Amino acid sequence: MKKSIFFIVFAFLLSSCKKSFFDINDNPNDPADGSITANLILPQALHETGRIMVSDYPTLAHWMGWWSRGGDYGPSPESETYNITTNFGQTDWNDWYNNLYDYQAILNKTEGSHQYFYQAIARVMKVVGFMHLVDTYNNIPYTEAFSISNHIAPRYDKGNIIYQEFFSELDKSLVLLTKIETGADTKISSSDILFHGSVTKWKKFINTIRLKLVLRLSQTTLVNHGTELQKVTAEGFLGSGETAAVNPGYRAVSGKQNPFWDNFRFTAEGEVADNFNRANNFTLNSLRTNGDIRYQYYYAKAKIPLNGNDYYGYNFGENLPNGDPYKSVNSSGVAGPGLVTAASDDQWILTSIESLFMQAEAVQRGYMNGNAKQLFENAVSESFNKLNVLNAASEAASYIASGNSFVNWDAATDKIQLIITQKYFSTVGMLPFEAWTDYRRTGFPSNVPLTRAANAGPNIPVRFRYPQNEYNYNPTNVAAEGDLSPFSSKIFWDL
Amino acid sequence: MRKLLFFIFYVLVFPVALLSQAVSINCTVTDEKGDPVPGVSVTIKGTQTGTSADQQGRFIIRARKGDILLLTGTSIEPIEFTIGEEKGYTIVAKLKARTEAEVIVTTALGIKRQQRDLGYATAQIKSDLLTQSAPVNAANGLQGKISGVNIATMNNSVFENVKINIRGIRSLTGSNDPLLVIDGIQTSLQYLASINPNDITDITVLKGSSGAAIYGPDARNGVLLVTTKKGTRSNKTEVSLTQTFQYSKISFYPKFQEEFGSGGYGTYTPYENWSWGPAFDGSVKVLGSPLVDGTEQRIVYSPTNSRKEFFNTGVTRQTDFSLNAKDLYFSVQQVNIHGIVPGDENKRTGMRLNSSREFGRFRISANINYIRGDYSVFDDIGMAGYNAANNIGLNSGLLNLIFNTPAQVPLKRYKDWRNAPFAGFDTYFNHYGHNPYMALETWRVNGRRDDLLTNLELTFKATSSLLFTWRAGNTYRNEGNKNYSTGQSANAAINVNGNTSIPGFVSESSALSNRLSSEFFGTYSMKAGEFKFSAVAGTYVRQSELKRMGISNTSLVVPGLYSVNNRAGEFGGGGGNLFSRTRLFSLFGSLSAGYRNWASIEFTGRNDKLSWLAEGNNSYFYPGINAALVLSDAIPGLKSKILSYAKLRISWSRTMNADLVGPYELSPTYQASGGFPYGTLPGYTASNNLTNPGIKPEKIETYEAGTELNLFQNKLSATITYFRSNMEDQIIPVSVSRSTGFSTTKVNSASFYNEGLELDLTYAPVITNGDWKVSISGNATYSKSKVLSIYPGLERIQIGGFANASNYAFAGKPAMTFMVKDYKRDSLGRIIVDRVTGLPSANPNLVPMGRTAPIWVIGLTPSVAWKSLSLSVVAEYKGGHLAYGRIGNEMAWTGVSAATAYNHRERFVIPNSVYLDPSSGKYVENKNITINDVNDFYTGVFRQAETNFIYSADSWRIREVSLSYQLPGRLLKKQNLVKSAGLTLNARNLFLWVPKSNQFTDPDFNFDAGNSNGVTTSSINPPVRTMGLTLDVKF
Repeated sequence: MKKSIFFIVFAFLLSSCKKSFFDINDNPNDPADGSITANLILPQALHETGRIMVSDYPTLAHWMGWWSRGGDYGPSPESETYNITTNFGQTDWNDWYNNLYDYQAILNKTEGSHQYFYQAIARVMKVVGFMHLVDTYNNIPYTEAFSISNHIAPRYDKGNIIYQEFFSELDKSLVLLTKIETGADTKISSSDILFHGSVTKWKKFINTIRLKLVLRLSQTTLVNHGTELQKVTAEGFLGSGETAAVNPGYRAVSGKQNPFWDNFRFTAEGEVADNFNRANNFTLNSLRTNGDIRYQYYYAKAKIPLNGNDYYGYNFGENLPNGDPYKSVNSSGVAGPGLVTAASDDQWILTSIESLFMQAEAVQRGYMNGNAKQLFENAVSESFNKLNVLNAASEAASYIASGNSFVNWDAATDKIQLIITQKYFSTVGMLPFEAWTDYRRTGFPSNVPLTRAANAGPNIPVRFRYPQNEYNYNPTNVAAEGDLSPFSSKIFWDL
Repeated sequence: MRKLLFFIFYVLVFPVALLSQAVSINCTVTDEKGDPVPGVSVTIKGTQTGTSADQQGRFIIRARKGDILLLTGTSIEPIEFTIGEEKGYTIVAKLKARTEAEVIVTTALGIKRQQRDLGYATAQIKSDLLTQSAPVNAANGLQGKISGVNIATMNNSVFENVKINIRGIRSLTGSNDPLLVIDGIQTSLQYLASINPNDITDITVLKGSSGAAIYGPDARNGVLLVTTKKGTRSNKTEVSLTQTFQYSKISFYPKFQEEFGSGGYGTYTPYENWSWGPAFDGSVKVLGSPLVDGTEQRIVYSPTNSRKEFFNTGVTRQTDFSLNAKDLYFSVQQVNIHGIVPGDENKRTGMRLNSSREFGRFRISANINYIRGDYSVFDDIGMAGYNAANNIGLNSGLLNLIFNTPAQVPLKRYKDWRNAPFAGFDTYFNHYGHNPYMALETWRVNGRRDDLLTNLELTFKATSSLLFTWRAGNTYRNEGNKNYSTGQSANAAINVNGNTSIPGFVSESSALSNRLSSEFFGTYSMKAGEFKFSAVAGTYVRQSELKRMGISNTSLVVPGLYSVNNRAGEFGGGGGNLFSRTRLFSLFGSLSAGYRNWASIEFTGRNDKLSWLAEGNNSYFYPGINAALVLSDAIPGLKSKILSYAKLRISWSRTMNADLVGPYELSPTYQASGGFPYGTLPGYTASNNLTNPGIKPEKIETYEAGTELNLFQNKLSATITYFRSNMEDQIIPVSVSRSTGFSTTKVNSASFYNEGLELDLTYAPVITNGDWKVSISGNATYSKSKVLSIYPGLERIQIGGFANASNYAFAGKPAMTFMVKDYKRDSLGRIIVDRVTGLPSANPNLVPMGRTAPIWVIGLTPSVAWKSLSLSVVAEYKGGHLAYGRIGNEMAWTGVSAATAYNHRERFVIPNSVYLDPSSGKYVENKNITINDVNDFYTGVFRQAETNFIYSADSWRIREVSLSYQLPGRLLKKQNLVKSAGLTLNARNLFLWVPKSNQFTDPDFNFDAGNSNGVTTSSINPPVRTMGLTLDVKF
């Protein structure tokens, strides 16, 4: 109290002349921009990229026939009739731009410095994120993005122009990786939660992303596919056992779990995290009828099996009849033991399986040299390995040798169909976005069932509508894109 | 400083030393009630010696024994007072019957001035009118009583939070709260809800921002000057005991359909929360899943009234004790509110000690007010968190649990949810929602609030015309909340509804806010011939601090022990701390001149310097001027039998507002997120909010002009005021495209204005016929506003609401305007439907619907007295605006709202619809394409088109009715103990009339305290009517 009185009496006598009286505006709570360095941003940014890729797209896994709605739930008309609105997928848009801005912040902070490694990582990760956005919306803010003082309402760029930028960004990243100075990139080995500062791995990652971009353009002549792939460096692509995965130190603590585990398996308290997403009959039955044991690794056993059905799924969009006994606890969860085993697992962002399938496709398309069949079969084996299938090598070998039309290279008339279809069955639940994109690009698997919901749209949406936030906060630019149809307004590469 | 000390010494000592025979006599002039009468002129009869009384009615004069003092003033009957042996006297004056023109009003800094001299509008509400319906929150006692003041109750909860706007708003996104000044100390408005209304002598409202010229930027939205009771001047001691009981019952429910029960697409589903099943037929049906042992719950398939019977009758008890003695006022109040939501409770205990003493030329007063609040309420947010995590739709809001229950469900049977059959966590019928009785006991917030408001005032009368005042104030609030979930474990052995266990958690938070202020000023007044002058100069310094701490866990080990120590795993993400501190330093002054008591003019000025803006942008000057002319005195020929008094007034001022920028906002920050840190690995993400470091305060320019008229021998008085405020450089936290990397930023950009007319009429008394006395007064406010611009390239910003139905500031439209998602329509406004399905679709572009703030607010307060009985009523109308009922959307999803039973759920043609004719490419009127599925329509596009839940917010209501009876004096004559006794029957919100389109709730309610209006959610309880009884005895 004495102090207070002292303050009162003297403050008004002295304060007016002392500048320090007002100099109390330094933030005592959060670190300010100036005190943050690249190594403090990168771990969060990489984790967030992984989180978005597995958390934001469960609907795509439903559309694509991997997952379905559990028996506890009533229909979700918007996604199950494909009649998506501007409120659909808003989180994806927001999360990506939010995440990409952190990579941009790394670039802004390291500009003019010798932290070339951080710059290279930020550039390639920006490509990864923006690729998702273009592949979802086609035209998006790119050149005017992240420049709020000049562009408070960023203009949209054409998707195909942005794709060309991606390739030059990858080129720049590779150049930056060659300029790395020892010790300049402070704490890179701990803050790089993807490759722990391995230049070789990053080069492989960049090469694999380049491969992915080239294959996205398989139906277009935007680039010369072969020429573009000649820029792949000697390190090659991510190979067997080289899944790109982030892990900042995931653990069974609320908010710190592996994102896939956290969303679809168990909460940190050990409760079932997800009663909504369940096995889809299409994938589950296809695997079983093909004698493909991997269904036991993609899906979890029913908690309380009915009639001995350890594995039980639903049809997408089906309105279950009253009295249907199969509730969520009686059906198969989507976080199978092959996908995640613990809250501390690494979170994949690009799997070795996918890399091998892409290589097979590129060779098959004649974009590069190699043995397509070998790559294809390696990819299948890699899937068994990655899933930790019991006796993976022999199981894979017997599956490949089974002569089943889903895996029989020699018998397949359309090798691309074989590759994409098998890729689909070899990566169930992992990255729904890739399955949706392959489906839009190639039309495979050709028999993904449409929804059973009544009054549904004609086909699986080929794009999302722009989010309502853009209509609210960037109305002029989004309106310039016109009234787009989720059923027919395709992404530029979808021909 | 030395000079000042010398001066003080001189003034204190010199007069005494110089005169031996004549002595200084200290006098106070009071009225018969003991209240001071300021400004009385004093002369010693037969001499030129004279002085005048100050604001507190005090004067010092040198006089001898036997001298006769002549006291005259505009408000009192003349007095001759003879000096005796004493050196101090209290002189009781008889007040003249006052006319409006002679009223003394309290103005900024507590300076009392004559109403006739003021160039701006004020209003005063005295304690009896304020508390006639025994409100718990003093703000409720102001509703409907003052023109230009719009007070809306936000929610009918045990807290009775209100929003107060005077003459509309002056900031699109910042605070529009008026400044609260309690006994001279600038205080945060939140304390108005804490203080005991019975401690208040009066509340004066300075409506314009003219107060801001003296009080600084916080007064830009008007000022509520609260004066608390001060004790008497005389030696009389009075003890008062008051007891109030009030009962509240729901007066308005959303409109339900009672034709269809649970299920989907016309088929009965026993465990559905959808009411899209078959029509009620009185048959016996199974409800919910059978228990594990096969027992089925059978109910009659007919609508019940259960949903409306869920809520309790609210009970409010207020017990008051007060002691009024010489220079001392002491009170204790206890308020206990049991809300309509079972288990919700709020207790408030307040104590006040006001005291003052005079020592020669000094006067010291000190007020101490301590208020403690203890409450326990349902934790809506806790429930919403669990529901969201478990993919349960309609996840927040108690009303969702209750009102979306199918009509045939006998909800009240599940009250004893631990024991009653089919009521438990594992056995409740609904697979998509919980038993609301269980939810109420599972998620709770228990809190405690401690308020300490203290102030100290020291005045020193240097000479009869020079007065110095120093005021120090310290307001302190400590609020601690414990949010917890008891947790519920799904028991696999008996669970039939598929519920996932609710984790137990506890979260403790504490917030300490403190404001310390010091104000020092001098007032000087003098007369020169026909002129009088006065001047004020002073300084104000303030420091505000806020400290918050929070810690939580997400998993309890031992059930029922709500401590973060009792946890499994690490601390949850809810922990954190925050500290902020701001400082403000000001210099202010005013100069006023008057001529012959009928013309006056006042200049005011203030300069503020703030700590939270950048150097160079943080110092501002606010000028103001106001003038008044009493025409009826200036031109005496104007006075007639009809016109007894006429005054014209005009005022202009400019103020600033930098509230929207908080401390530390000028540089971007980073936050740990995504679970970081993981062990020793930190991880930060850039904040999504960016404040421009060159941000400046908002500019506000205010004009007002008015007239005050007294007609028919002062029987009818009328006040008319035109007001206008122009706002520029409005600080806009613009929501921006996420592709900028941010979600919001702040810029100085928008501009808007508001203007209007206020009218106050009092006719008193209408009848005075023996024992009867009837009077009526009314007030009306017409106001409109227009947003002129927002930001280059941006024509609108969202202010508050839901994504598809929200308050917006939209250039060219009133502030605020509803922007709402509608159906796609053709150029003639007809709804476009699909040629095959008959279904309309939603237009992604929001459309403007209309204003959210009322155009008209009208209050009528008739009163009738007969002998010792008196009846007074406050009626209030608000109209011309729209509101949005979110519950309509939610009730359409579940199919419980009346709207969803349109056409008995048979397929129908959307009225006024068209379809695109493929051959002509033109829209053709739709006469026969019916919607293909009623269920899909209402649960789908009907809800997307939120225009279906926009309604007229017009309302008439009886705010207050109070019927009081005072025991006649003759009955009390025979004893000395009881001085007076009275009984009052009172009611609040007795009736509410709304148009038919309002199927939802009280349109005054709103979901947040910001600048949005009329957005109600399912977390807002239904409106109630309150009736009660007050017993009041004075000893």
